[in-house]
Amino acid sequence: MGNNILDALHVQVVGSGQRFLVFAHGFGTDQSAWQRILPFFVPHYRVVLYDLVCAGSVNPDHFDYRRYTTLDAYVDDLLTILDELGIERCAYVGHSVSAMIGILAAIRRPELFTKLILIGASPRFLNDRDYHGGFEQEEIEKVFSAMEANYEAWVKGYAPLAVGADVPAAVREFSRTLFNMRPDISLFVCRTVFNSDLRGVLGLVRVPCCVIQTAKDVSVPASVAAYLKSHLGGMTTVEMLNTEGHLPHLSAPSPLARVLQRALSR
Amino acid sequence: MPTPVSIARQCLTAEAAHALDEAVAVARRRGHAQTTSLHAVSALLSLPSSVLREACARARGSGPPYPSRLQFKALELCLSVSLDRVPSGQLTDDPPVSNALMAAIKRSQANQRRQPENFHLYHQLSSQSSINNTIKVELQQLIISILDDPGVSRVFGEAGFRSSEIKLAILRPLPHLLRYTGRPRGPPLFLCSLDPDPDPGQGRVRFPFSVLPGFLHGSGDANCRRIGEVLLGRSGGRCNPLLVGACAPGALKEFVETLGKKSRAKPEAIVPPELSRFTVMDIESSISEGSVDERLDEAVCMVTSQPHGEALVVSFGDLKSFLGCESGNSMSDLVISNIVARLTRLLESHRGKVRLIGSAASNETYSKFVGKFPVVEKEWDLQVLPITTVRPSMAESCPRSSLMESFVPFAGFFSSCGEYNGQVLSSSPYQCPSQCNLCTEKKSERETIQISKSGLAASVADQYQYSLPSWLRMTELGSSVKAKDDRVAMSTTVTGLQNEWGDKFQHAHRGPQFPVSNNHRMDSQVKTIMGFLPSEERSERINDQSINGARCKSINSSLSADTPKISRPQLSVSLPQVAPATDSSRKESFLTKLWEKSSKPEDMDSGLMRCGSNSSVDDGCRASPSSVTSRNTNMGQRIHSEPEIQRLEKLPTQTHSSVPDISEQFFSDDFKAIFKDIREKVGRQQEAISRISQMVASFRARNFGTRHQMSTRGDFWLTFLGPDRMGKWKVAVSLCEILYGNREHLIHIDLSSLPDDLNHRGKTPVDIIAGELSKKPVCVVFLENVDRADEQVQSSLLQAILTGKFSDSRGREIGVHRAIFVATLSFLKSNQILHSHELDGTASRFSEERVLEAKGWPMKILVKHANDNVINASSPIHVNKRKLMGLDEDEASSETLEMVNKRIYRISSKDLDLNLPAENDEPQDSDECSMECDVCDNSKAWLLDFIDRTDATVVFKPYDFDSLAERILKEIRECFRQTVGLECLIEIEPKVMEQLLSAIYTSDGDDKQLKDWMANVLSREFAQLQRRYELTDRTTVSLLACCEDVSMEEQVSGSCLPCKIFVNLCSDRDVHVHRSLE
Repeated sequence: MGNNILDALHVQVVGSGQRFLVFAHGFGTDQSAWQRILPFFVPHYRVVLYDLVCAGSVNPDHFDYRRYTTLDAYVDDLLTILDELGIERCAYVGHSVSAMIGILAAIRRPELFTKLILIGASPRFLNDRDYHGGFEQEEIEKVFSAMEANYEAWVKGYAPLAVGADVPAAVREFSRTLFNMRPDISLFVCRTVFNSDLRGVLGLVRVPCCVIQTAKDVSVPASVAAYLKSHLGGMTTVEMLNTEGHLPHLSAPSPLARVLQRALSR
Repeated sequence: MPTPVSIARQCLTAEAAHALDEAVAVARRRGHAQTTSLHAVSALLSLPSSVLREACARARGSGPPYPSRLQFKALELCLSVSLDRVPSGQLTDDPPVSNALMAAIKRSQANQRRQPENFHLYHQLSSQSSINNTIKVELQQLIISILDDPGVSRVFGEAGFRSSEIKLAILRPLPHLLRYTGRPRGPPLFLCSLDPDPDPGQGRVRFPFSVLPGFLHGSGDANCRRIGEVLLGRSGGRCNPLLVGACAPGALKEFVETLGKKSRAKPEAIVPPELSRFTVMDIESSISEGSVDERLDEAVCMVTSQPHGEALVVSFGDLKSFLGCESGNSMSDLVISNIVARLTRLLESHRGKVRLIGSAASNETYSKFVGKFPVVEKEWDLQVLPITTVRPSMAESCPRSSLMESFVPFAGFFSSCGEYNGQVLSSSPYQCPSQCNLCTEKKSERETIQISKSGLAASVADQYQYSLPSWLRMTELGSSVKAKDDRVAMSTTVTGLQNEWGDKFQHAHRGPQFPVSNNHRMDSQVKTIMGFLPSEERSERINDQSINGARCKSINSSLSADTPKISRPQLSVSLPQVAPATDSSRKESFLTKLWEKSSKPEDMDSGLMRCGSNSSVDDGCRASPSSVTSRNTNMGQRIHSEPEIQRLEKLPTQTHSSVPDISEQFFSDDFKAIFKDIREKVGRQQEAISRISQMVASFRARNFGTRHQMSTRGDFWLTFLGPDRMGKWKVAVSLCEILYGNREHLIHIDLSSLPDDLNHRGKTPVDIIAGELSKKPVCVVFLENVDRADEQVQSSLLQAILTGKFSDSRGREIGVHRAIFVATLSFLKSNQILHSHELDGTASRFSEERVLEAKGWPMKILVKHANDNVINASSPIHVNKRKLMGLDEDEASSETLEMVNKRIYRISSKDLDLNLPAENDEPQDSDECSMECDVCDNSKAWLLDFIDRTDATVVFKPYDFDSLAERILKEIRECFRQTVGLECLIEIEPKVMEQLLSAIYTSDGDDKQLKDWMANVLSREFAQLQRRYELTDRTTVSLLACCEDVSMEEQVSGSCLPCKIFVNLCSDRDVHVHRSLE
């Protein structure tokens, strides 16, 4: 029973180092997104890979609509996995929604994490009075109805936008994984993410964080990185990555890996 | 050979049999000799509500784009042509069923039996009555089998249908139904073509049913659930939630509303249902007005009148109203602190019956509040709960289009089976399951029976799942609907619905097969949920053994099956094996009461006095001018003068228990278990151990109670006063082993000598402690010599004890609410004066420090004859000449002498102390002197404050080195007498004695090692002595330590006992003589 979650979410531990490093993928991808980053870390870390329950590679039967209504359920999953693996300390690299999950997990179990590295993270995607999250409610609704009307078409349109940089392979890869998600789950997760607002709790994070922000991200404006830096409770650094797009691990793996290595060594 | 119709009919359900009759009628009409599959198809198509016809219409989509009417015409034509080809034969009343059709019936029969959902039913049926043909083929199955018939599929093929598509259409009616709802947009893409699922039995339209309730209200529920878990104490932390996050005020409001509605609504409307015993009172508005007195008085009335087991949740709303003018509030700070104090008092005086809940829109508000009232966070027992999900009811402001509307087609479908329409589209999240309840309950009942009968392994999981919440809900109405069960049941319903959706839905609710048919799915579903649930369960399991132990108990008693989860060795430690008699538990409740009294802050001093008065060093206390009230001493003596647990049991049992039975029972068992365990491991300090066990047991009982109703802090502070450093250490170790199962959860930091290993180099003490704490938040922290703490550590410790957070040198805070702190001091405290234990008048000849410092010197035996005659024996072979010479040098011997003299002086001056007043006492040891000065000057006030604030103070008795030394001496004499057979005078140098004492002291108090040493080493040397020298009654044999640079001999495994003793003959004077003779 206990191993169930490890099997269901395809948890893998690879590498030969001493320290643990968790790679958590974001919305629309699965653990394969890290495959070009992995070679840089496998020799030095024991890398933990897993799929979010919403990923296309996970059996959709596991996605319980009553359970995954908030990010906390995803946090539960992450902490359960780490506990099952008997990990007591680890560094955490999270992309997009997983960055949010990492923040919440670090609030709940600060002793578990040595460092959070947040790629394309945003505490809140919607604009507010004095906060620029990058989206207006109406835009989001449009996106949702587009997703709902024709998921395939939406994927085809969104993937190049998200990847940003002109890397066809990355666009292909992202389209594949995004399209693998069952559309209803995808839509549901999107809603969960856009309904989340982490701004009030950032100060509760005590773990040192590193925010990695690309030069141009369709989902996360640069101001968000500054917001994170000033509001996260731990020691926080911001690394600007001189590439474009929301998915630097797909579009620019080696520059990202260098930044990651630097951030982890600090 | 064709089969008679009557036999074929036996294999069919009524519906299918009716279809067969129709087919037979067709055959008869046409004058055919046999009823074939084609007849059956013809009959099926002409039935009034033809499933086949409908399916054909639906499957038509992929066929040629003819109008459906035309295509059906074509089908009828093809069919009649084929029927015309069937040879006619002699007329019979009922043309028998052809082999092909019979084969189709058999196929469908087999098919139905093979269906995993049906397996159990048929398995059971076949075991009951071995008649296989009791399996009634359903019409749907029959049609599918008939469509498999090559002749039939040829006919359909000629008409432009593909039989495989028709089959699919029969099995999966829903996607195709969309067509008829007149949706302009067409079906969502993903419903039809994405899922390449080859098994048509698997429904693929599960999500709409789970989406709707969950989606509309899910996150609100999730928030409520998490708040509820904190309130119920399941989150492993404190029990009064403080919601933090931009959406926290909204979530709080929603939660308060939900709980407020409870009295009117059905209890199942609340998530989780255990919350139904909480009543809520919102005082936010009165706080912002600045007058809470009336409301709080009201609250007190409610609390006192509410039945046992219920609790009042006071919602103080947004924290920003406490920030005063900073937040633009007009309230003065005085009013605010008054409100805070009143709330604190309310919480204190009705501990366990009053809960607080509040919210803060952002972390800044919260940290400002904590900055303003640093103690309140702990006093109010606030657990920060990040709330990050915007309440979905905001969806009202945003267009509610999207996903929902895409499922409107189903609404169209539902309307066809009217009674379910309202449910699925209704806005209440839990209405759906609750309305489905009837059938769900029936189902789960059946399933449980089913599963247990079939003996699947999953049944354990299943029952476990069910039994957990039911136990937790012990105190409540058994009939209330459970969230967890709901979840399980709901998913059952959903999967069930998928399976059997179609036209069988309504039938299923009546028919007996339905619940059975989703056995398999049910199992897997339960497993899945179990798999994903465990985070909360696991955290409980690991961190709160107490609750878990109790849970396990109940499960063990209720379940005969053993669950692997439970049989963890760690748990068994805390699991009391035997159910104790009632009167013993009553007695324990008496103890609880006593303890609870003493744990109250105002009683702390008397508690301290109590321990002081009953430690064996009574003199000091009695000499002190403080007057101990007789009540206190009485109580103290009653508890502590009878250290043995057996005797404790004889305590009067006059008090009536106010503690709930379970925790009482738990406490008593726990106390005994802990006491026994520690006593076994430590072997002395019975009184201290008894007191510590009481503390820990009632602490755990309190925590255990938390899970039910009481509120408590998770951290626990003990101070060990007095001497016996090893004893304290051993108690701490065994405490850790008992509580957490191993030593790994022990953090040991000696503040007088910090570790200087690589990890800690260059770190301040406070950072070392903070670092260890952040690595192991669940631990026993053993802080030795807290009096030596520097200012940073002092302030951090005080802060930790007040606010539950330990901050390091950079101000980063680490929560300590799951740690047990044990601080040790070598002082005693009486009447607000700390004094060294040696001043209390029972100074022993051997001080603990010296014994602990004793090194493993090599030893030698010196033989002296009283008549001063030199015995001229050749020196022992293994002592070389130079060493002897070296030893004989004056300075060396004088040094030894000096040492001895110093000791003697020291001892004598100690003796003097008895007659001197304490103030005039002159400290002998410079070390002690400085320590006391420190205490006097800098940190005495802090130390006293610290000790006063700890939960309990335990006094350790000094270790009785004197009697031990006497015993050793006696034993050595005995050993000598046995080996040599003479009664010589035996002297033992204090240094050697310290060495021997230390061997016993450090080795868990047992003297086996020393006995071994005596038996093997010492007696051997004595025997040699006798062989070499002439020993007489007047010989003096002295055991000395060689302090010079004799290479350290190998020692008996890790102790300071040498495995060889140099034998030396002669005293100082003798040696001189000896040398002169040479």
